Amino acid sequence: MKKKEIWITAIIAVIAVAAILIVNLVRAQNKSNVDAQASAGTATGIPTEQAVGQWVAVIHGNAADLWFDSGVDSTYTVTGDYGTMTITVKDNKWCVSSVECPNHNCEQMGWDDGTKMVPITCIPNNIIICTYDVALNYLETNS
Amino acid sequence: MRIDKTRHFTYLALLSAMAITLNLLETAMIPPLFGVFRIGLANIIALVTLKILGVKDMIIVNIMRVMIGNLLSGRIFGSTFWISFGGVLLSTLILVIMDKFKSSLMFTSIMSSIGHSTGQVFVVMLFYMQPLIAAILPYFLALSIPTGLATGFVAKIAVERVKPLRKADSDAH
Repeated sequence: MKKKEIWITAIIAVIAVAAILIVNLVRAQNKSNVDAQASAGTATGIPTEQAVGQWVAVIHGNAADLWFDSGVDSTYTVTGDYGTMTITVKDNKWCVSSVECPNHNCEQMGWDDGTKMVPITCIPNNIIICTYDVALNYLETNS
Repeated sequence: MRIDKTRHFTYLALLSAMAITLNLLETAMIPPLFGVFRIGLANIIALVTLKILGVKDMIIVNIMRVMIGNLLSGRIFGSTFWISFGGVLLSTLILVIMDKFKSSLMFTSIMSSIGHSTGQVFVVMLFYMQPLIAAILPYFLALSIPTGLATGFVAKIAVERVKPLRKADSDAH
């Protein structure tokens, strides 16, 4: 590699790291804002009762089809654009246990507890499973 | 002249077959990172084709790999196909630009890897209306550097081994 190319690669790496920090900062700020709204009772869209774990939304298209409490072990089935999707909730974590779609990428994404950088997403079914803060942000952006 | 043309097509067919095989193997055996990010093993063949046969043939190999690879895996014109197509389109464009600037193989590989992941994210953002997926772009950018270096390293070894064979082959004829 030429010297100039090494410099460009280093600059890209620095930009990527800086952008990762900014993304995490914005996410944390967004979460604290939503938490503040929820505790003040001004957050719209999230279920009003207190969750044992945290509220998780199953967004289909531009609307939340289902809200579930991550602290309650259960199994849910939702219908997307392609077919049905079964979500298993256990020990404050959730995963897609089965899905009707050609890719099955969302099954491969494994368990999520809200700390993963990418929420469980099934593009053929147009479904995203994300925590309340991401869900509210998403629904606001797409409304 | 005719023998040269036949030999050229044979190389093109072999490289296309290798790219398709690597594409299928990666899809079947290596789960995508974060559910979406693929290393892009077939990019090795695109780089080798670029260095051995040139830009036009590299474009053919890339189109063949995305079309036939998805056709064989039964995903043609599905969401995965379009995401993969977006990635290959941008990475091919970057390979062409890098070739014009006579960049080194390793740097070309890094930039092509960045193009591949960025293209995939853009397709998801624009065509599947998922603007929040843009948040993944910095992670992809950071991951593209080591994966680009890895594929570039393998491509460099392959080019170094194939070039003398081709020369010997041409001398024999």
